[in-house]
Amino acid sequence: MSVLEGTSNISPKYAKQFAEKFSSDENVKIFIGQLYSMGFGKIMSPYNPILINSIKDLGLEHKIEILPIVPNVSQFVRDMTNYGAVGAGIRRLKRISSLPGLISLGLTGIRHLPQIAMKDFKAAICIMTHMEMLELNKLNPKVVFLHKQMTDLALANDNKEFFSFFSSFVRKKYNIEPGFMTNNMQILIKKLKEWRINAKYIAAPINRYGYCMNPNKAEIEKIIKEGGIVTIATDVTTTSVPQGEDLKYLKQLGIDNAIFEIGSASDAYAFANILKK
Amino acid sequence: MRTKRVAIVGLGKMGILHASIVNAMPDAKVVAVSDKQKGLKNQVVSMGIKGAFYESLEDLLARESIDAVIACVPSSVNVYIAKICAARKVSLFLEKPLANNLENALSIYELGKSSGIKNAVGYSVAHIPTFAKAAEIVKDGMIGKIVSTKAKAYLSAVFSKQSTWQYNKRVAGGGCMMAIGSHLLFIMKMILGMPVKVKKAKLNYKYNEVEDEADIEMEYKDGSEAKIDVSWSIHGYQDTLFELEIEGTKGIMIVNNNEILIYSQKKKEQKESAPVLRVHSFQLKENTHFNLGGPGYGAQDLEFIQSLGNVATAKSDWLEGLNIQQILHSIYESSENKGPVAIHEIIP
Repeated sequence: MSVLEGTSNISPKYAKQFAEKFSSDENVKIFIGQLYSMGFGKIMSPYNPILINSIKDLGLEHKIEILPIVPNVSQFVRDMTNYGAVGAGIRRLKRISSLPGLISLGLTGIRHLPQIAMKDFKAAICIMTHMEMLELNKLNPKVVFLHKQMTDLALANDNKEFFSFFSSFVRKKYNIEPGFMTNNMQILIKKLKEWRINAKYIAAPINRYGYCMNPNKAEIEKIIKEGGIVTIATDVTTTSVPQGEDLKYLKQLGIDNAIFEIGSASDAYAFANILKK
Repeated sequence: MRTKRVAIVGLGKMGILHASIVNAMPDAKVVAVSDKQKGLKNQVVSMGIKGAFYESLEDLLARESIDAVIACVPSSVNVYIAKICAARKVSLFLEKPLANNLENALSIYELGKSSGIKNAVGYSVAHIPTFAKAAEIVKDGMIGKIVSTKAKAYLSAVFSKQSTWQYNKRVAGGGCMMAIGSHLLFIMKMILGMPVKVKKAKLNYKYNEVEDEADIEMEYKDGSEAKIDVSWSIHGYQDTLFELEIEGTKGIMIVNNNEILIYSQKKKEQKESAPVLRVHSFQLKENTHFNLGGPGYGAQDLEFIQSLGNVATAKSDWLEGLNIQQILHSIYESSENKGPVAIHEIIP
């Protein structure tokens, strides 16, 4: 749900609307309540304390399924540009509000995060993930997705160790399944098979235009039809309300799960009606 | 085809991005890296970027056989990197802007010309499909003769005093104009051509010694005018927005990172009616082998690496980079002198 972060792949107009609207905690809470009342019960989102608190305040912890995306890279990259890698790590630490949370990280881990970040990328990502999962885990997610920038960074560098470490970390620490968001689905699936890493949840752009479906649409469609993975389609539509054609394309491929950027109750209502048809 | 051997200088955010994009190419590989901070060596290795580590580029090039260097260092350092690579006839990609000032940019351009090395400067916007398509639409005359343009580059990044090199006038050469304004100027040159005059430039220093906002007016050879608004201190823009609204005699075009909208009516008030044409970025193909870092980056690096060993040149080569630097220089001059400044295009 990049809408809560104030970003959009549909248009800058929507991104700005989202940024303005969702800067208010109250607006977020109202919107989540509206979505749930219309039958939308799954939210995919990076760590967002306002979202988490809204779900709790509405008493929807066991009713809305959260698909977390970790770590919240956008904020970290912004901090890294302004404060350097060490400063970014420290700022991330400061956002942990709970004492049990800090204790869970281990004081050693906290003190050494900058050094860890400098030496061991996978450990740094897992510590950042844990910082976010301290709160996100209270919403009982079944799968946690690695942010696409991290997935694709590791994938580009053939970093088998990183994928193996992350998958194992998530399973052991939280007893849930790892998922990977990516903009390079074909390469990721090929590599996971080659490395014998068992991770079946993949979130990637799947749309009737072929956008970000490298090397081409036909190859990606073939991979999906081969089965063995749970595909979650992202970047499905170019409009604020997905069109029938967009959904028809996903249905043809047998895809049941998709993420949509819905930023208003009216759009959600229109979409709910399209889904009913 | 022989695998191209690439070195990366500067292991910050951009260095890591470029290294990763190169490593994802079938015919290229990062074989060496360089940074003054020795401590970064282990970090990049743990990311999977495996190349021999050197603290200096001179040492790296003395010991390694390299086809191309990609340098992601403060822009004041670019001229030194260019001297080293030109002397060894090693092709060089410099992150944008070409330099921190016009004098250094001219030196870099001359080094490229005299050495004959393949070169590029990192204006990744050249490869964002919507802007390339918009340039085609204007060239084909769909909106007629250009009358006026409103352009903006916005990012929500700076809301207090900062201390890193990007905010140091001597090192970076400037603030928001160097960081995001330069990309916008590149897009404008791609679509509208080279401007001939900066009529007015007002720079606003809200938090730092470099400008945080810029308000500019420019003029073109065909008599059309452009108003430019740049800010990295504006709320509501988590991702950088580049947007042009171009008014022509036959219609209005709005183009940004995500879409192109064409309106048939000429009047501004009527622009709110539905566009006659909408082209979304999803409908345009980007020529890249790997999607990382956002639109344009993969295609940019692929184009540069593929140009090695043949006659092709990068869309954003050092000549283009120099012309953008000319425009930037004129903007800063106009702001200081509080008057119009002519812009002279460098043509080889």
